[in-house]
Amino acid sequence: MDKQDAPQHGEDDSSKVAEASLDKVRQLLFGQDDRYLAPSVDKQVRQSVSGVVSEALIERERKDGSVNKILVPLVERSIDRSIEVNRDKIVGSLYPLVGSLVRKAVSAFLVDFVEKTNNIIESSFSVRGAMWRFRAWQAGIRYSDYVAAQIYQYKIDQLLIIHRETGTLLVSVAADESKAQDADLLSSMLVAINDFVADAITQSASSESSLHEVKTDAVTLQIKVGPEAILVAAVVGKLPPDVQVKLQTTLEEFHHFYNQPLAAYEGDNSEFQSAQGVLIDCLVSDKREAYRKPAGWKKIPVWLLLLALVGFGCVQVYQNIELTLLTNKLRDLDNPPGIIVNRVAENDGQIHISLLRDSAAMSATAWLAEKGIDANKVTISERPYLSVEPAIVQQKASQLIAEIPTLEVNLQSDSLLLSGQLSSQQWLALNQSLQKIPGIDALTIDSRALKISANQSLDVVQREALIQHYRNRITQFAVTFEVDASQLNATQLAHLGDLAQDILALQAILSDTGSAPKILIIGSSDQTGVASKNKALSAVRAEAVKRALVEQGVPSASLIATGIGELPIDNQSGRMVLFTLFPQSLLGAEDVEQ
Amino acid sequence: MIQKKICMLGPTGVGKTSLVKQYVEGIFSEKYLTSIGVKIDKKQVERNGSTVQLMLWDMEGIDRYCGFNPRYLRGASSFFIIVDQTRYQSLVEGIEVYQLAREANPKAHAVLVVNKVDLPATSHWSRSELEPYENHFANVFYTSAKTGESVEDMFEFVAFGES
Ligand SMILES: Nc1nc2c(ncn2[C@@H]2O[C@H](COP(=O)(O)OP(=O)(O)OP(=O)(O)O)[C@@H](O)[C@H]2O)c(=O)[nH]1
Ligand SMILES: [Mg+2]
Repeated sequence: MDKQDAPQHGEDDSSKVAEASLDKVRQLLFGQDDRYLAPSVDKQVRQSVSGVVSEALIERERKDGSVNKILVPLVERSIDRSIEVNRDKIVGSLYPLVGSLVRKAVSAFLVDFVEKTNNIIESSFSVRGAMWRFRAWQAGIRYSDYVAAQIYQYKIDQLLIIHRETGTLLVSVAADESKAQDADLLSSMLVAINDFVADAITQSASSESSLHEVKTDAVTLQIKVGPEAILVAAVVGKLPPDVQVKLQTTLEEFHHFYNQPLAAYEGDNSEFQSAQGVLIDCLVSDKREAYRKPAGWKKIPVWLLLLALVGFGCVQVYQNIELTLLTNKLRDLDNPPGIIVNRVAENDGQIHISLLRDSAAMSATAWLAEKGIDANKVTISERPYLSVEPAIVQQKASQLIAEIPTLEVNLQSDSLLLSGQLSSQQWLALNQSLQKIPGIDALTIDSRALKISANQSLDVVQREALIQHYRNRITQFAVTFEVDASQLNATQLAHLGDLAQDILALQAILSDTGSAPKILIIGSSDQTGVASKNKALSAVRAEAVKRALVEQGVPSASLIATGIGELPIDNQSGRMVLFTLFPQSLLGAEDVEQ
Repeated sequence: MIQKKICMLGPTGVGKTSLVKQYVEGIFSEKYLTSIGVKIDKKQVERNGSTVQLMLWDMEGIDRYCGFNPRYLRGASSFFIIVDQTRYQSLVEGIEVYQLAREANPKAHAVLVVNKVDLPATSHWSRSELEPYENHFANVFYTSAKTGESVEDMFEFVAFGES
């Protein structure tokens, strides 16, 4: 084409004329400025260029390298721009890809690390080493593999997935829910620490650094950070590389599956609960019996190294985490009987508990120890109070009873069953101290199996007090009946057993006077029905009670039963049997004379 | 369950920690322990059968000497700007804090809290003073961490919004 367009030097006029007329023809055919031609040529050119463009670019690039010079800055600029605009989108879509590369790098590092450790172990001779070597040979596996299996003793107790931006918990699972840490708080705190680390450590660098591992006394938190979510595993022991990889993969899958809800997250975590199934698969553990050296774990320097990465500032923050978790745990504890926790507060890196405690309750430190809480981390201020909780009342009563070695006590849910032998003096004293226990009324003290022996060495005052005591008990006793009934039920019989004991005890005290006290048993009825029939019914009631007492060992001669018929009281509750003592047989003339 | 991240912001000593303590634990202390860093507490609020869990981020006081980590505001659903009505200066500082916070998180609801209403207000202070700022805030509460006045209200507002 060049040749045709460019006129040759030294050509004659005729050729100029020819040229001019050719122009004319061209104009006619193709229009002014090749108007008719341009579109179809364009099309042709496009077709022919597109056929050779790649080859042409390669050829030109080979010739002088100019293609790269022009294209590279262009492409770079546009990539920069699109990353700037769509940063999150690009990171999000690259994450699963990059993730697998990172995984490879991490496992390569860990494998290398193990290999090195093995070299060290391998070259050091020890009895254990020799034993392992033998076992490995026996099992037909490489010594270093065997060692790895022995070393990685671990358990994943809890897994959390946390929304990275807000620090709120998306989903969590725990191997043992009762031992699980407070996942909500833990999540927020970890993210806060992460923010802190990002701020404190990376002020100069453009990329954010973040935590990978947090070590507390009992557990290690393994942290995997993704673009939208963070996975945290609470681990006891040391995770082997394959489990580390599994955690990383799980986080990547989580991002993949929950792409949409993550992008739209507004605080509602219900949609993520379906991930629990996948997470539960990660609650793996491996407990080897062969290698048990708990103290040794703390000496393995790996976590020290990782902890050093985190720096001192954070160590304090972790202690804060522990404190806050502990405070919450304390708030959630159930109070044992006789202890009331008023307040749990955190101040100056210490936890303070203020509580009320009954002196009979277990000590506060013992209680904390029972709940697995280190009492050294807690200061306790306690004030006394009197508890009427049944367990405490029982405790106090049995303490009193235990002071008398000849007694035995059997604890039932709401009663104390006493057996053994004691003097009436001791019995009186015991009774008086029992009555002083707050809340004792709710407790039945069953003394029927008790043998109370009369005590000759009572002084006058004690004797009178004792007589008064039994007198009160006997005269305050009453048996009530249903309408028209004179039968005694099992409870009534049981109570009459107590009464019989009291009567016998009183008789024993008074036996030295030679006068057996006589007890009047008075039956009565209500005011409904025929009076004569009521009179008879009241007598039958009194007789039934007398019979019951005689059966319990009270001499029949000391009991007089009588029926008085209708009791003139308004309500219908006149159906009963009452007891009274004959005055002449009590503190009788004989006594006064002596 | 719905969870919401709530940040307590404001100058030092205005009662951020006390408000959280009053709300979560129901107690108040005259003792002043200045906060360092951030302390997180949680509390569940229920209304009409729906439960919202508030994660309360109590931050250290922000003043001239102590900068402000904007990362802590990430993902917050609301933030409180707390000021102390006994100190006029705290209102001025509070507005500065508001501007910083707004920059760090343009989406969150901002709520103004004028605290310590159990004490007499400083003589410079009048409620009309707040008017120019009021349209920046989703709501304004006059509270006392000591008596508990309006404390439940301010947190319920960020949990459930207007009603
Ligand atoms: N009378 C009264 N005193 C209050 C009230 N709120 C807080 N205070 C007191 O003000 C002081 C500071 O309270 P804090 O809650 O620690 O203040 P803060 O905003 O958390 O302070 P920094 O953490 O230092 O930023 C304490 O002595 C509180 O007792 C209130 O409503 N009324
Ligand atoms: Mg504070």
